[in-house]
Amino acid sequence: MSPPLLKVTKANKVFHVGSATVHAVTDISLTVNKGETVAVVGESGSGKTTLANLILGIEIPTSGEVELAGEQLKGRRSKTVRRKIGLVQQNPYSTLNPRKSIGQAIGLPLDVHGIGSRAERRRRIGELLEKVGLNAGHRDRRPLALSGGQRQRVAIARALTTNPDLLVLDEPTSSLDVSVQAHILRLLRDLQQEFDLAYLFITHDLGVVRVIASRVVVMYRGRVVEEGSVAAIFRSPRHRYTQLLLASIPTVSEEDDAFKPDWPWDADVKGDGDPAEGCPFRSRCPFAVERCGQEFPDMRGSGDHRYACFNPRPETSEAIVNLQAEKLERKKA
Amino acid sequence: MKEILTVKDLDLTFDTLDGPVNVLRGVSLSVREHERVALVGESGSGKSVTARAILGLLPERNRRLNGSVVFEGSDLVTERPSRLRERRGRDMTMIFQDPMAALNPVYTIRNQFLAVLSRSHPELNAKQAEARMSDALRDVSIIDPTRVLDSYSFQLSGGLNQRVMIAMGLISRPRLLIADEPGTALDVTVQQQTLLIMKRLSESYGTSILFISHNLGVVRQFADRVCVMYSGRIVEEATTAELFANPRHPYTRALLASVPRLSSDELPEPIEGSVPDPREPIKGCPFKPRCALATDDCLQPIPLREFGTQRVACIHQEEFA
Repeated sequence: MSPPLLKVTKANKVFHVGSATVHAVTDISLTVNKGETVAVVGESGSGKTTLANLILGIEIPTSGEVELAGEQLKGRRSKTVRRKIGLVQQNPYSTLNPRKSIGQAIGLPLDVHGIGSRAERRRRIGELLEKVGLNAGHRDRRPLALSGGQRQRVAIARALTTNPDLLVLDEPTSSLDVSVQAHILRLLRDLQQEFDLAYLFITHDLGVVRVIASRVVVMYRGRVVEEGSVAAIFRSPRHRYTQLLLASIPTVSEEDDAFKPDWPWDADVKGDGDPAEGCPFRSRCPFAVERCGQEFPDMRGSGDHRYACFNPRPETSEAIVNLQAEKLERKKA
Repeated sequence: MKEILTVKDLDLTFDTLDGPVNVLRGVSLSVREHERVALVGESGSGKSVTARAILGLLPERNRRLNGSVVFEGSDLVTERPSRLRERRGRDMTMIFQDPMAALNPVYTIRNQFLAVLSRSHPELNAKQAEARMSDALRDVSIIDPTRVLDSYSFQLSGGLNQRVMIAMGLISRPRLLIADEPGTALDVTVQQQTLLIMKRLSESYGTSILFISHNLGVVRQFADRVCVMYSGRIVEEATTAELFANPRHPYTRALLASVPRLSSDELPEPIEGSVPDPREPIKGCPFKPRCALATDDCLQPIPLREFGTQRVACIHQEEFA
């Protein structure tokens, strides 16, 4: 079997801020195969973006390894390696230079990597614009003349210029309206099928994960707390933090409500503090047991669904799964 | 129940260098006692500007405002500015989207909270004020009010700041609270918690809420009644239960279809086309260019039609029957 496209092994990143040390990412391991979408979910401060930066080579891991197609990536990366990973960022209003035309924005990676003659670049920019649902006429316009959705399309086109194998998508739809988000999700799916792209999809929105990803990694305070297939995690979240995340999704129909786990919103929890030892989630967790304060739990569970929790949510019972199926049937009828 | 806020035929036009921009067109809505009403729509639909128009927070220059905003019997559009200033922040308060931006980072929370408190309760002495603020913070589930009062906004988490904003917004026991995308800048888990706190407090204080959001799911949990806005108009109004069980306007339906579902792994349906340019005059229904049901009749002025308690600005309702 060929090695996975991206493999991160036991990556750590520690920042020193004044006299304080911040463990942004602790012992993260994950793999992304060719053509697959892996979602990384977590709230602000969970280390999602630091993880992206490690993969992109913007930050160098304090320890641990990042491999691309079996090749270990060192601190300084060659241009050939850099071409293979593209990046789309969250806010299309701040990631495009307002003084440069769309053509210049998309053409920059071609300049940097010295790809093609002037005429070829021009043709390629036009081609890419059409691939993302714009047209060659947008080439000479400035970002200000474009809507948020159009700008995000430009950012995607720019990420595709060097024919990458992997796109790191850092909250690509969070700043867009839902109706526009739906367009971008479709575009991403179509591009993935056309170019056999792999996506590392970073988001805080589990609702989006359900429809776009095949596997999920849930992060909390720099650690992976649960990972598995989308089907397994949405059917039966085990870690209490994943349970809370799912229970927080604002759903729009009764069918969707049936898929949300319960959460004791009124339970007393200790509140804001960030414990140094043990499970970092325990200060917000009404289910914490004594052991949670002593050590960080090891990953348990089987191959396609693993979680780090001493007092996990019980597996969703058959009765509830049947009820969910029934609700769906009724909706279709 | 008695209406405490009645907005009628609100038209708003800004005169810009590119010509007039039509921001609101005939917006009418009402909020009753103890009721939570949501204004939902996408960016540019005119939700926030409606809130600002109600509170009289719009710039005076280059704007034309017509219609009436009746709050407890007096019209805020024509009311004396001094009287309006008195009522704003006391009888009618507002919570903004980003608590980090709404709180001033160079003053402690105590300082800012005192300024708010002294408007509605100028008679309190320092000790009483301190007690009042601590109680208010405890009401929003803050366990250590003294530490929070001593802090600056940048020393607190987003969730705590948002709760401080809620406490400040409700300290005068206002008749109406306008909440503009509360919690949108926060993580989902924290957002959920703060919304629950706000809901509980508004119930126990008897405060009505006008709630502005782009998130249909949040609206469904929080509001009693929903107004859907599109291109500066209200296109549908219904109780929350009705709206989600039986959305009538094609835009409401399209918007619901574009939300990713937990119950399905299919990609949501996008809405084709784009929002009309507010600088262009619009004839008839603003959603016509994007609507599958559109006919030439949609170019006529479209009034809101009533279906039971539901109001819909669409002439193609028979097709749904």
